[in-house]
Formats: sequence, structure tokens, C-alpha cells
Amino acid sequence: MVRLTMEFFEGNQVLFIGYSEKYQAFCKQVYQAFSNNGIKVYPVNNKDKGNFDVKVYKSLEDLPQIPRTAYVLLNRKSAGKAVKELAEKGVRRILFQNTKNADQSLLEECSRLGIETIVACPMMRFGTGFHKIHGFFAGVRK
Amino acid sequence: MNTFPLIRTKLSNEHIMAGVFAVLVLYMLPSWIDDPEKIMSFAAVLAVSLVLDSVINHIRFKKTVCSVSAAVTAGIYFNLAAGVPLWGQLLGITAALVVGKHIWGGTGKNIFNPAMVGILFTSVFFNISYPSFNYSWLLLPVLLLSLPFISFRPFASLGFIAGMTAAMIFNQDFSLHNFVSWGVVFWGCLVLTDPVTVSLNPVLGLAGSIAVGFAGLQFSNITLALAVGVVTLNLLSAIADRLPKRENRRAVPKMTIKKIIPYQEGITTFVDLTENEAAVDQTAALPDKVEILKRIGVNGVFGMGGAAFPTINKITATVDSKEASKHLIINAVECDPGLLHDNWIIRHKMDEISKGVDILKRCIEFESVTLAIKAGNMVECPQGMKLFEVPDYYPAGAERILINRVLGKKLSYKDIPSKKGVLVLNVQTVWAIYEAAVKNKKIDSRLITVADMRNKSSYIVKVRLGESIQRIADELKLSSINLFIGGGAMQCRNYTGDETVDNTINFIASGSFPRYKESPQCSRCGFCRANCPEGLMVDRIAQIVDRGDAAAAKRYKPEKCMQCGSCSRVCLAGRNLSARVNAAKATVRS
Repeated sequence: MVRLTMEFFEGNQVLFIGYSEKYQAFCKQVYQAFSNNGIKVYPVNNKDKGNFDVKVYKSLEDLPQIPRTAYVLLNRKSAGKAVKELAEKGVRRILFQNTKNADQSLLEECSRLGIETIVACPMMRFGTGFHKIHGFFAGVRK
Repeated sequence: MNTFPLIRTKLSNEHIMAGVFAVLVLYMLPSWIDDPEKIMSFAAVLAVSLVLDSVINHIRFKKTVCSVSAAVTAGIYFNLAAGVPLWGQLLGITAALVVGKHIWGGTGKNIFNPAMVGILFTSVFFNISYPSFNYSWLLLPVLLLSLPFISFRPFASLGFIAGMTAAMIFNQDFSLHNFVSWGVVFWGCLVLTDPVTVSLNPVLGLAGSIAVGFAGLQFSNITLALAVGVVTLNLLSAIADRLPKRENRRAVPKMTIKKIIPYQEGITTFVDLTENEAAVDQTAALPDKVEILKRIGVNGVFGMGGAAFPTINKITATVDSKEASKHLIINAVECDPGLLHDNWIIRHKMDEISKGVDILKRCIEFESVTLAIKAGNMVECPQGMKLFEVPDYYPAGAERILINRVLGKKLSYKDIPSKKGVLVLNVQTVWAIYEAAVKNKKIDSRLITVADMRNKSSYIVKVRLGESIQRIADELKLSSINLFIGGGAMQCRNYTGDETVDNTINFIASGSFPRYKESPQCSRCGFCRANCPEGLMVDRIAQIVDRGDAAAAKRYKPEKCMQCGSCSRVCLAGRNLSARVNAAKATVRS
């Protein structure tokens, strides 16, 4: 697996696409892991009207600024649509959660759009405890 | 956006269950020394239980969930069914987890103790031997290690121990040897203390477990009889817990929470970020009552304790109150663990507070004026005021709790204190009254506490209303990008990036996120209920809200919630319960 470094998150900012209520526990865990490591997170979900502990933006238009890096936690179909919009908005790096939501064809499309990609769970790089061990063996950590 | 306490308990269900599991293993040690093969048997039972629980949890929650509760079930089951052949034990533990736990919805939702279900299932095919333990001095320290778990269900636990001891005395079998080998403490401290399946109800817990402990020893197959007794008690507990409850009339819980960063005179820094103070039209003579009330209203004095309610409405309601005796309580208790500025005010602005009180006395004839402070925060009491020390616990400063403590008056959540002749004002509000009435100054600034939790430094900051939170963070060079704002450390929300200081913000903090892991596995420990100052059935309300039917929580009166955040702070499952109660409260009100 590719090593995930802080440099990947340009300006220490990241867009979190797909922050959902259904998987809020995991989403919050990732949000907190990014934040506690000095990365400002902008969560986005255009469908969910959930009750969140953090501010979740309805669309990219609502954001005060659009970071150059995005973390995408969507299913394959939605991820495909999101990638095009992200490219149009100037996102140049995308971190996908796993190969389920980013198959080879999507990664190739990202490459065509000039987007650098990494497929890795951010908890392996920014999490604690077992996540650290997982990240070490997966080669995501230094 | 939800609010949450910035500090929470370091304990979790998993920590406690790991502790129970360790004690259960220690119970097995003497038998392992006698027969090392049992180690392999237990390893097999444990492995099956962990794999089975993990797989079912993964299917149910679509994620990995800690299975330490399955290990505890395996530990209890194996201790009691140690003489059963391995294949019987494997079948028994499977029945325990599937029939005893997962068909009910998993951990926290099961009615019966899974290990007891496993014992009942095994009893159908095998005779389970008793006593369960061979006497060994090695078990004596284990008994001591079992005792802390009594705290989860003290009535049931002590009732069982008392019942079984009484039966031993009644049967003339009482001896230390029997006390240990018959597992009196094992059953009492590790089986009857299961918070999921045994009720918190003291009468049911005590009476039921005395009966189980006493009757169990009267049968020939004691393990089976005890298991049947426990399962019956579980069933009664489930029924009792679902019956409508009377209002909880217990005393307010005394939860002492240490200050995140304690106030230190001379070290806690005061910073004034208000440039160009607004022009002041200072009148030499004190204005009359009409003018005072006009100035308080026009200059926008508001409740600085966090509610931001217009003070003029409170004062007028007290003036109009038909109560014969009227009381003024100045709230400087500052029970929230994050706030420090009220403490600073009573040390540096007591003259202004005293004058503010004189102004209020011109408007209302008070029978008593009390300055309520936290015990230990000794200050010199100005003339005409009575000093009242409130014990250091949270939420001692909540309006109705304070009235009850100072005046002995119990007000319901529907009562408005000022209409009952009790005017409770935050100490900073009294200062603002002085500024508004005497100096005729617009209230456009306030004191807040800013805490840098990473560097353990704190500031008392005077800021203008409308000031950018980010600017305050930049000026004070706070160490983390995570900012939290709110009425105090127990009611914070995440800073979104575009908010300013308003009437409700008393506290800004920078630091790491508190760890709310939002585990789906509530152990029904009852800590949320026990720590709720209103005695709400928080776990039940949260369960209903999680089901997506917040309106159905109406019968548990979520509107009584004062949003103190105590439930979220103590939740062993790491759930933000106060947000759920708040959601139910909003739905019920709408």
C-alpha cells in the first residue's frame, strides 16, 4: 500500500465527502483523527439531514473554501459522480477509503482528470491503538 | 449541531468487562493447576464464543464490534460447567450467545443472562456438578477482586450473598470452605451484577436475589436451581424496567468534576480584547426605580450564565410576583469545570456587584440577598448580603437546584422562579446591571473563559459581542486547530469557522476531541440515570431516539432536561446521550 503522508493534505485541509449519519460513529472517528493531527476537515453530505456533532455542509458551494485534497467515503456509483465534480472544483488529490468504493476504472479516470489518488483508511495513518498496528503492517505509516 | 461535554469518563464498557473477564480467569486458576487440560478446553470455548459473537456482530452492525462481553459469557459459563465434556460446552456456549443474547438484538438488549441460558441448555443433556469450585487459598484474593463489581447492582448482589449465607446457616453448612467453594461471591458479584439483565430497582433486586440465593440451596441440582432463579429474576427485571415509572425523587447526584484548568490568582491571565470602550454617560446620583428598569432594558442586559434571557423580563416578573417574600440569589457557583471568570469577578469586581445589588434593592424589596459561591472560593461578603457556600459538585449552580439548596424551595421544571418571587442572577449579570443602570452603558461586551487544553493554560477574556472566535484564538495563540465553543465545558459544540461571540457563549476551548466512540452496545449500567439531576430515564429516551421515533419519548418527559451533559460524560458506551435527549426534547416541544 502507498505511504500516506501529511504532504498529501495540502494546506492541512481535507474535504470529507460522504459524512453520513448512518455511519456517524466511524465518520466522527475519522473527523477527530484528522482534526487531532492538525488537519482541518470540511465534511459534506448533500442528502443527509442528520443530527451531527460537527458542521456538515450540504454542498461544495456552501464551503468557505475548497481544499485541494478530498477524502471520499461513498459507494462506487456515487464516488464516480463525485470525482467529476471534485475535479471541476479544483481538487487535485483524493484519498479513497478502500477498493470497494474505488475500483481500477475509477482510479484510472482520476488519473485522466489529473487527480492523484491513494486508497487507504485514514485511521491507519492518523488513528491510535490497533489502527497504528494495522497502518504499520499495511505500509501506510512511516 | 449537537453539544457535548469536552470531558468524559476514561472508563468504558470494554474496560469493565475486561476486568470481569480477568477475575473469571483467576477463578479458573486453581482448577488449571490441578488439571492443565482444562486450559485447552477453556481456550476452545473462548475461541468459539469470540468468533461467533464477532461474526454475528459484523452481520448486525456491518462493522467490527468488540466482543469482550462474549468472553465474559464464556468465562461465567466455563466456571460453572467445567465438568461437562468439551462438545457439550461448545454447544452450551453457542446456545448462550445465540439464544441468550443475539436473538434479542445483541449486547444490552438481551433479557436473560446469556451464561445462564447456556447453563439451562447444558442441563438438559448433562448433570452439572456442584460445588463449582474446589476450595483453594488461591481463591481468597479472587474473592476480594470480585467485590468492586458489587457497585453495578449493589442490592441484587448483596441480597444474593445474604440469601445464600442465610441458607447455609439455616442448613448448618456455613464455613469458609463452603462459602468459597459454593461460589457465593462468584454468583453475587459476577452473575447478579450484570447490569443488562438485573434491574436497578432496589426492592426487586434485594428481594429477588435473597429469594434466589436462599431457595437455590434447597434443591438437589443447585447450579440448575440457581440458574433458573437468576433467569426468573431477569424476567421480572425486564418486566419491572418496562413499567411506567414514578418521578425519580432522589436527591441530586453529587458528581464532583475537577476544573479542566484550575483558577489561580495571579497566574490565570486576564486579557482585554475590547478596544475603544463605548462612550459612557455616567450619572452621579443613582436613578429612580423607573429609570433603573428603563436603563436595564434599553442597554440590553441579558443573563450571562448562558441562557441569555433578557434580564429586564426576569426583574419585571419578580416585581409583579404576588409572593409575599422575595429573594435575590446571586449565582457565582460556577460549577462547570471549564469556567473561571465568575471566580475572577467575585475577586476583582465585588464593589460593582455590591452596587448592582443596591440598584436591584431599589426596584424590589427583597427579604434576603444571597451570594452563592462554591465551597472553598472564600471571599469577603459585602454588607447586606449573605454568603452561601455550595458544595463542589456538578450541576450545583443550575437555577432550580440552587434555589432548593439556598432557600429550601422545591420548584418543578414548569415553574418560573422569578414568578415565584425568586430572582436568580449570574454574578456577571449583576455587574452588567450596575454598568447599565449607573453608567448608562450599553452591554456590548462580556467576560468569557478561554482554555488551551493542550498547554493547560487559561485566560479570562473581555470581549465585545460579535467578536470573531477565530480572532480570539489567534490573539491568544491557542495551540490546536480544534476549537469548541459554548456555555461551558459540559455544553460545547464544535466551532464551524464563521461564528462570533454571542450572548450564549461563555467558553472557548482548544484541544483534542473528546472520544465519543458511539458504541451500539449499551450495557444498561444506569450511570446516565444515576447522574441525571432530573432523574430522567436517559437510556430509554436515547434508545427511542436511536430508533428514529423521538416523539415516542414523550412519556419519559425529556422536556425536563436541563442540558447539563452529565449523561454524556459518564456513558460507558461513549455515546453523546445529551444530544439524543435534546433531540427528544425538541420533538416533544414542537
